[in-house]
Amino acid sequence: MLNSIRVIALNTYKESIRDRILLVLVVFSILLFGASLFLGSISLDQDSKIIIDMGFFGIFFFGVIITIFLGSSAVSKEIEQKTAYPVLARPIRRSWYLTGKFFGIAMTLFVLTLFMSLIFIVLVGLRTGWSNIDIALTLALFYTYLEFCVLSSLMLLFSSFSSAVMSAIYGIAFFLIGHSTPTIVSLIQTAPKFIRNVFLGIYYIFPNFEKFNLRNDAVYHIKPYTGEVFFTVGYALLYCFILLFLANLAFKKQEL
Amino acid sequence: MSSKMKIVFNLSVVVLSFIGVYYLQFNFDQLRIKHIKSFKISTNELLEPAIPSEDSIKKLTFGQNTLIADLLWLQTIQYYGSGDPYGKYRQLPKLINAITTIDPKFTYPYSFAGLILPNEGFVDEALEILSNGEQNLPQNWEIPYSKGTILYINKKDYKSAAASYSNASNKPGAPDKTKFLSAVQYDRGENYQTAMQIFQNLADKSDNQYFKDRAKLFVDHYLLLDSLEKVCKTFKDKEGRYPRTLNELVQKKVVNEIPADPLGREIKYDSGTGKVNANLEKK
Repeated sequence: MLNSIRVIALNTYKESIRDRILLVLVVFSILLFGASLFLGSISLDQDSKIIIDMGFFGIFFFGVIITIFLGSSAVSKEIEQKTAYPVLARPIRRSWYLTGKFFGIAMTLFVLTLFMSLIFIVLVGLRTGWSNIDIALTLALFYTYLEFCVLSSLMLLFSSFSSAVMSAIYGIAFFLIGHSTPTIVSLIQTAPKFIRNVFLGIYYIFPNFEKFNLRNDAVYHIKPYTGEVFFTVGYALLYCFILLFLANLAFKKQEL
Repeated sequence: MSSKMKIVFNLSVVVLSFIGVYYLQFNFDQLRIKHIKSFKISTNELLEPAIPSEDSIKKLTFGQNTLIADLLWLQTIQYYGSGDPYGKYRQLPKLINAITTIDPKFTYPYSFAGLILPNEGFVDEALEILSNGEQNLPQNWEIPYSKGTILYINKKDYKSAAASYSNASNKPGAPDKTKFLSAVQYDRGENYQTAMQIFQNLADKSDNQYFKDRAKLFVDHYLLLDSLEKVCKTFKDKEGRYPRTLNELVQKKVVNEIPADPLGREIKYDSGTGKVNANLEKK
C-alpha cells in the first residue's frame, strides 16, 4: 500500500513541478517581493513592515492560486483525459490513489513554498535586518503551508466528483468563507438564537482558514502560545483526514 | 504577396492601430477635461480618496489586514503629499481611522495622527484616534505623549495633559522628557506638590543633563516659594500679622534679601493669606 501511495505521490510531484504555469506564478511572487522594496521606500520609514507584509501576501496569494490550480485538476483532469484508468485498473485502491495524489500535491507545495520563503527570508534579512527573522515569522510561513495542505485536500474532495472548473469555483468559495469566519461570528452576535446556532454550526464545521493566519501577528513579532501551535497542527491534520475521507467516499461512487 | 510585403503589411497594421489607439485616448482625455470644466470640478476633487467605512473594510479584508493597512498607509502619504484642494485634507482622519481599525498595532499612523491632524484642524479626531491607540497599544509611550502634547498645545487642558504625559512616562522605554513635560503641566495646572515630586525625582535620577539641570531649577523655585512662605508665617507669629510686602521682610531685617527666582518668574505675594506664588511667565 505504502509503495503504491509513494509511487503515485512521486509521479504527481514530478508532473506538477514540471508545469510551467507554476514557475510563472512563482516568478510573479518574486516580482511582488521586488515591488515591496519600491513601496517600502515611499512609506515614511515603514519599509520593514511593508516588505514583510507584501512578502507574506506574495507567498500566500500565489500559493493559494497554485493549490487551487493543482487540486482542482488533480483527479478530474485525469478522469477526463482517461490517464487515471491504467492506474486504477491495477490492484490499487481509490483511497490509495487519492492519498498519493494528496501527498504529491503537498510535496509540490512544500518545495514551492520553501523556495519562495527562502527568497523572502533572505530579502527581509538583507533589507530590514536579520533580527526580523524570528520564530513568529517562521511559524507564519509554516502555518501558510498548513493552509495550503488543507486547501489542497478540499480541492481533492471537489475534484473527485466535479469538473476542474467547478472544483476551482467551489474551492474559491470555501476559501473565502474560511477566511471570513471572524466576520460571521461578529455578525451573528445580535441575530436570533436559531440563526445564530445555524451560523455557529457553519463556523465550526467549515474549514477555518483564519486559524492558519499568523501573518498579521508575525509582522509585529507576536508569537502564538505553544498550545495554540499544537491545536493548529492537529486541526490541519484532522481536517485533511476528514476531507480525504470524504473525497474517497465521493470518488468510490464515481463510475469510471 | 511576397514574404517581405507580408511583413510590411503586418507592421503597417500594428503601427496604424497604435495611432488609432493614441487618437481615441487623446480625444477621450480632451472630452473629460471639457466635461470637468463645464461642471467646475477640479481634477483634485476626483483624486480625493474615497474610503469605505471602517466596519466594511474590516469585514472585507479576508484576513489580509496588515497588507490592506499598508496600502491605505501608502495612499495616506500620497494624499497628504499631493496638496489639499479644499484648504483641508478632509479625508485624512477617515483614512487614519481606517488604518488603525484594521491594523490596530500599526504604531506609526497614531504618531502621524498626533503630529499632523491637529495642525489640519482635526483636534478632536486626533484625540479620538490616540485614545484608541492607547487601548490597542498599552505599552507604547509615544501615543499618550502625542495626546498630552495636543491637550497642552491645542486644548490648553493642562491637567489632562499632565495626566497623559505622566501615563506616557510610566511606559517601558519612555524617555525623561515625558516625566519632565508631565511635571511642567502639573506646574501649569497648579498642582505644585506633584510637580515638585516629579522634578525632584528627575533632578536626582535623570541621566539626561539638560532635564536634570532644568528640573533642579524647578525644585529650587519651589523651595524658594516654600521658604518665603515659612518666613512670612514666622513674621506673623512674631508681629501678629503677615508682612504687607515681601520687601518688608528685608526692611525689618528678617531676611537679608529676597532672592531672584531661579526660573526668572515674577514672585507674587498675598498679604491677606501669606501665600507666595509665581507668575507662569518670566519677568
